[in-house]
Amino acid sequence: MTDFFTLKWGDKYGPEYVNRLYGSLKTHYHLPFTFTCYTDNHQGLREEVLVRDIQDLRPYDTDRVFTYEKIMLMEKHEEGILFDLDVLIHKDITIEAQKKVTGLCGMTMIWNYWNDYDTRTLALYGKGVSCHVNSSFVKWKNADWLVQYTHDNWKKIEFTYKSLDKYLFYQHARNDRLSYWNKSICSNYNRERLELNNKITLFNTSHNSHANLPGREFELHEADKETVKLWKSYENA
Amino acid sequence: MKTLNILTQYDSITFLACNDIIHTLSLLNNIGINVSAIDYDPKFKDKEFYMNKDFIFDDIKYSSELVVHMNCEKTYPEIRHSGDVLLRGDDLNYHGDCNPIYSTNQLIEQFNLKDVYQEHIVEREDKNLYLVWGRM
Repeated sequence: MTDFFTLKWGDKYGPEYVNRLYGSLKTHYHLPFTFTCYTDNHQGLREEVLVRDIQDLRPYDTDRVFTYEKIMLMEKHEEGILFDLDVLIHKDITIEAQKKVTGLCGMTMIWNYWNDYDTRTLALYGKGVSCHVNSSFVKWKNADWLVQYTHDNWKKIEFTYKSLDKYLFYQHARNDRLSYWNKSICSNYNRERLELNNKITLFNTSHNSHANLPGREFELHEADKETVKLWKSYENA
Repeated sequence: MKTLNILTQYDSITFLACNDIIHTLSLLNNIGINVSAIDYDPKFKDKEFYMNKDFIFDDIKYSSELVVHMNCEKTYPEIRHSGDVLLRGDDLNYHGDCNPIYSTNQLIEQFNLKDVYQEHIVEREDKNLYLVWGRM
């Protein structure tokens, strides 16, 4: 049994984002699974979705280290796969989801292949604004070391980092403690010509706007007609 | 504050979060001062005088008569050192800065300085630079 998770709080994304994510997994994952949503509002979620209180993942009262709840999820569940709500699964991921997790941190995450590492990430590295990893699709197994490190260094982490991904990039990618999905699995709609490439596509507008990238960026519900049609088709899948 | 006059009073100096100061390091080294620099930017990997580490998070040791923190606005306020320090930070509030510095007092308090030898503010067009020379 594979345990999938997502997180939803506030009003940025409605319940349809959760329901369609579940539907996309039902369509593109062909082994038994559970799907749990940690949330502050379970209204409108389809009945197959298991609901847990997002506060269970918030031992720290902070507005920094955005989405640090993901690390706390790894503390609560020994093993699992997490998707952010603003991703679209559009091809079979059964084999990918079985990939063995390696690395000291016990987690596999996305390497931002769509950004040029030398001209963008390395060039700004010393200013503390680079980030070449993404936690929108994460698999973990026994992430005890990462969880403990995060607790032990929380004061410094909270002071230093606005987002979880930056923390993971500057502390753990830098020290080769993470593993990454293969290049052929994920794509980024807003960074790659507004296309659905590979198997899972990220929309990730918040990351792009933090990076001050030019041009309009699109959330899933604002994407092109065919993409939205596909996304909506997962509503009752 | 004449920084070079301060630096040349010491036999050994460690520079933290200093970016590319290779000419300064070479100059000080050439006049007999034992210098080292710690910066996590990968561009300093295998560079002479540099240790390519994060002095806040990585388990590293450094010891010298003087420790110079060149960019206090970019790091958690901690230096693992007892002795003299030269602290430098700015109020530019660049979006990667986690600790913008707005006064010399802020530096003195954040780093718990026991003695303050000199304080100085440099006003630039885009930012103010705050410098404190003292002892931790």
